[in-house]
This record gives sequence, structure tokens and C-alpha cells, in this order.
Amino acid sequence: MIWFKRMNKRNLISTVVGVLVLTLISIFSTKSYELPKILNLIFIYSISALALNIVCGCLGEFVLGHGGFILIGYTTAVILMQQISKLFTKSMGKVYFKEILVYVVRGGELHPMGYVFIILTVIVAALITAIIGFVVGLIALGRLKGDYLAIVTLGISLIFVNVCKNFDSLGGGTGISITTTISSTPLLNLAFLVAILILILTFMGSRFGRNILACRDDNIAAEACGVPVNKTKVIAFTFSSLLAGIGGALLAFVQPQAPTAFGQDMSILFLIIIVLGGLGSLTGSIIAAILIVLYENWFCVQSWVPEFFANNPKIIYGIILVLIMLFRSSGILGKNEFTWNWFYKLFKKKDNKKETLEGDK
Amino acid sequence: MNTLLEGLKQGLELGSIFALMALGYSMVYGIVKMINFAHSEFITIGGFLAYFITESLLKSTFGNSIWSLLIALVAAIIVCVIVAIITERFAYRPLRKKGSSRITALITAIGVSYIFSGIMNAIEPEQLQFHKFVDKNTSFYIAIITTAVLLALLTFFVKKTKIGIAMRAVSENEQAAKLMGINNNFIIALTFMIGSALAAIGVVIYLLDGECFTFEIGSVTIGLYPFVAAVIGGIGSLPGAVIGGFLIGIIRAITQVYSNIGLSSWVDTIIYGIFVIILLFKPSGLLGKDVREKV
Repeated sequence: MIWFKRMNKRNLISTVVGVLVLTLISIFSTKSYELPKILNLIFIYSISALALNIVCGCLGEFVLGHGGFILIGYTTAVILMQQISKLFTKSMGKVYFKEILVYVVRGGELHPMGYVFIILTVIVAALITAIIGFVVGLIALGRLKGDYLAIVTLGISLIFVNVCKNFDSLGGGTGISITTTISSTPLLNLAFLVAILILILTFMGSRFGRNILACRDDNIAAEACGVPVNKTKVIAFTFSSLLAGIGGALLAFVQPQAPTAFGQDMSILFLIIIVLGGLGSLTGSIIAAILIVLYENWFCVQSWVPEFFANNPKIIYGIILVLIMLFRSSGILGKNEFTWNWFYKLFKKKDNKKETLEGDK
Repeated sequence: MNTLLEGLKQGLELGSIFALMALGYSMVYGIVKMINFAHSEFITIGGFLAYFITESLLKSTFGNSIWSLLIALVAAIIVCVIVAIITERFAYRPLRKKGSSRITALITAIGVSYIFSGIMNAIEPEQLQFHKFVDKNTSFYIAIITTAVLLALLTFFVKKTKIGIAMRAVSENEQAAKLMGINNNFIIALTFMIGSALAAIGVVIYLLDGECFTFEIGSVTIGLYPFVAAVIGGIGSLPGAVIGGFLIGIIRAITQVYSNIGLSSWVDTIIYGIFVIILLFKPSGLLGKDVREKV
């Protein structure tokens, strides 16, 4: 846990306090109607964006098929949950099962057994996605790079979408035929996000993580130094699809969605998020995910906002992408991570001025 | 459309249309090494413009004559070319000046494509039907002949004329071409113009026999197929784009023929499957050149 030792103590404490505040908000958010949905989406989008950022930002390979892996996680989770409900309904009778699992949206609480089911389902779905990601990575990453890799992953994700559309048991054309029987809570999603952040930080601090960064900075130099480039790339891709599977599986417990939505548009949505936050910046992805979710679910539904924004998100996203690329191609945070220093500087204005003045002299 | 022969004919027509559009992708990639995702939106813009102009001309003195079609075609080409110039000038050229990475260019292209597709959606979200100028048979011959003629012209232009040679020089080595006194920016803008003009011609031929279309024609209906065709044939190669176009067109039409056994709903899986397999064994496409990485 190198990151843990390297972290500034003040920063660490602030982060823990921030997470605690979020936990409290998550617990009490169930009282309102809109807030849980927004929080859920923020946490889940952050997870999926972090997953994409590992390949695009940290490994430096461009992937356009992220939506396909989210779709696999989503579909697997839904099918598993349906099988579990069937099993329990048979053995225990309908009434008892419903008592355990039904989660009333307003003011209700999820039964502890529900949490166990969701966590198990998510883990299994993530493992299955990771296996598929491993196979795809093994085939594609060794032979292709750059633009071609981007196109091939796009093609593979479109194949996933097409397969799901063709089987009714996988969602069919509309995707409405499959939905889970229970909903998850913001608290659970937050717990997943924190756990994944710790996992990513540990992973990126390990030897594999440093190998990944070396491959990004210079492929050939890394190989010359004895870094197994292909192996590293496949590991990073598998890890990324594992996290994408978790994101997709969590999404299944939050909102029903058609497989068609997971194609190009979802891949590009996450691309927008990581580009906006800064390629390679984990906290940047989270900030951008918050911005995008707030834009879609809070800003667009306000009564004073013209309908134009709600009806044409594509124009807005396109303009955002082009402007970022033209004027600040590193995104909001670049490769840096978010720190709380600015927060403390607010209270220390006088000291700062003194320091700069002395420095000038 | 029940027999295999009919399917092949349909496939050849579709294939030549895809080939025209694929040429645009291929030429632009060959010269700036960037996948121009906005190309699919050039297709949409061309289709829309041709539709609105024919609709207004049909009520005028031109009526149902071939003239209204030609005027619509020319107008669509001109507008597509202007859009391409604007895109190149304000989105891609500043990036080139800064010497940005290829991923930056790719993301910008996706952004531009999003902007145009959003605007199209805002203008006309309904389904439209193009006026039926010719029957299916004639449109087949028109498609084949136009593609053959344009491919010949383009090959001549690229291989023999001075500007074509300059174009190949820029695609080979931009810096060296600049030192030889070639106006890079002009050549690149010209490539974009040719590509978008071909896209406009392609979409008008596609719509010619009274096809229905929506604002998603470029991004969904025709979608990535021309692009896949360009990559399969070897992106950057003119005959490769045409071969890829015919391959994709024929596969798509044949799956339509066997729709009774449910093959038509698997068209995406088949096409992208073939695409992935070809790329895995020959990453530069069927007719593409292999480029080795240098230190």
C-alpha cells in the first residue's frame, strides 16, 4: 500500500471526512425522490469511467468498446438475479421472498439479505466480464494498436449488442423483457466505489501498475527494460473489463436499459467523461462523472432550463469534446490528482501572499 | 429479392454506394492519419439537403424531371464540401498546428460528429421519404457506373496530376512535402472536400429509388459500414476501399435474402465478425501497406 504511505496526512483525513459526509448523505437520501437516483448514477458512472481510464489514461491504448463490457456485466447481473429469485420463490414460497427483497423506493430499507444477493451477483458478473475481457484482450491487444485497436474494440462491442438484441432472454430489442426484481441503494454503490478506488490505487502502486505506466510512456523503451509489454496490456485490459463489469452489474439494479443504448453512445459517453476529467487522472474521472450526471439528471430537468439542453445532449457533448481538445487537451485535472490543498489555501491567504513576495525578492 | 441473384444485384448496388463513402474515409485517413468520424455526418447532411431541395423543386417548373435531381445533387455536393472545409479549418487544422497526438484528433472527430448529428436531430427528427426518381433497376446501373467512373477518375487524379502527386507526397511524409514547397493545408483541405463530395454523391444514389430515411441515416442506417469497408480494404488504399465496399454490400444483401431463417438480424455480428477476423490476421487490411514501428 505505497499510496497510503505517500499520501499527505491532511489530505487523507479530508478524504475520509468527505467519504463519511457522502455516506451520511447516502443514508438519508432515501427520504427524497430524486437524490438517490442521482447519487446512484454518480457512483456507478464513476466506477465505469475509472475502468475506462485504466486502459485509456494509464495504459494509453484507445478503446471505443467500453459500452460492450458494461453491457455484459449488466446482462449477467440481471440473469443471475432472475435465476436467484426463481430459486427462492420455488423453495420458500412467493410471499417470504418478496418480504426479503422488495425495496420500497421512498423511505424503504433494503433487507440485509438483499445486500448479500446484490454483492454476490455483482462479483460473479464482474468475473464473467473479466474472463471475456481477458479473451478479447489476448486476441486484440497483442496484434493491434492505436486506431486499429479502437476500431476493433468498437466492432466487438457492436457484436455484443447485436447478440443481446437477438435473444429475448438477453434483453431482446427493447431490453424491457429483463429487469431485476430489486433495487440497490446509494450506500451500497458508494461502498463499491470506495472499495474500487482503494483497489485501483493499490493496483497502480504495485509492480503491474508501474509496468502499465511504463508502457504508456514508451512502449519500446519499456520492452527494452524488460517489461513484458503484451502481458501488461492484457492484464490492464482484463482489470478494466472487471471494473466495467462491476459498473454494469450495479447499473442493472438501478435502472432498466435497452442493449441498444450500450452500443456506441455509452462507449462515447464514458470517453467524454474521462477526457473531460483528464486522461490518467482517477479523481478527474470522478469529478467529470459528477458533472455529467448532474447535467443529465439535475440541470436538464430544471424548469428554468430551456428544452434545447434536454433534447439535444449530443450537441452539448460534441461541443464540450471539441472545445476541450482545442483549448485544454489535458482535461480538467490533466494527469494530476485532486487534492484538498486549495481548500486549506482558502484559509491561509495572507501567508501565501507573504511567501510569494519573499520569493520575488 | 427472394433469389440469390437478386440479392447479389442488390449487394452490388449497396456495395458501390458503400465504396463511394469508404473512399472518403480512406483518402482522409491516408493523408492525415485520422479516422474522420464526422464523415458519417457528411452523409446525413448530403441526404437531407438533397431531400429538401428536391421537395421544393418538385413543386416548381422543373417538376419530376432529371434536372431537379441534378440540381439537388450539385447543391448537396456544394454544401457538403463547405461543411467539410469548415470542419477541417476550425476543428482539425488547429490540432495539427499544435502537433497534437492522434488520439486527440480521433476524439475531436467524434466530437464534431456528435455536434452535426445533434443538429440534424434538432432540425428534423421525423422519418422522410425521398422522391422516387428511378426504379430499382435503373438505380442499380447508375450506382455501378458512377462508382466505376469516379474510381477511374480518382485514380487518374491521384496518380497522374500534379495535385494528386502532391497528395501522395503529403501522405508519405508531411514534413518533407512541406519542404518541397507543397501547401500542406491546401492539399489536406482538398482531400476533405473530395471525400465529402463522394459522400454526398453516394447518399443521393442510395436515396434515388424512393428510400425512406431519418436523421440517423449516416450514423445508424448506413452507419459504420462504409468505414468498416475502408478498414477491411486497407485504409488509405483506393481500390481497397472499393473491394471492401462491395464485400460489405454483398454480405448485407445476402443476409437479407435469407431473412426467413433469421439471418438478417445477425447482419451486424456477421459483418463485424468478419471485420475483426480480417484485422487480426492482416491488421493493415486486405490491400494496405504494413508499416513497421521505428525507434
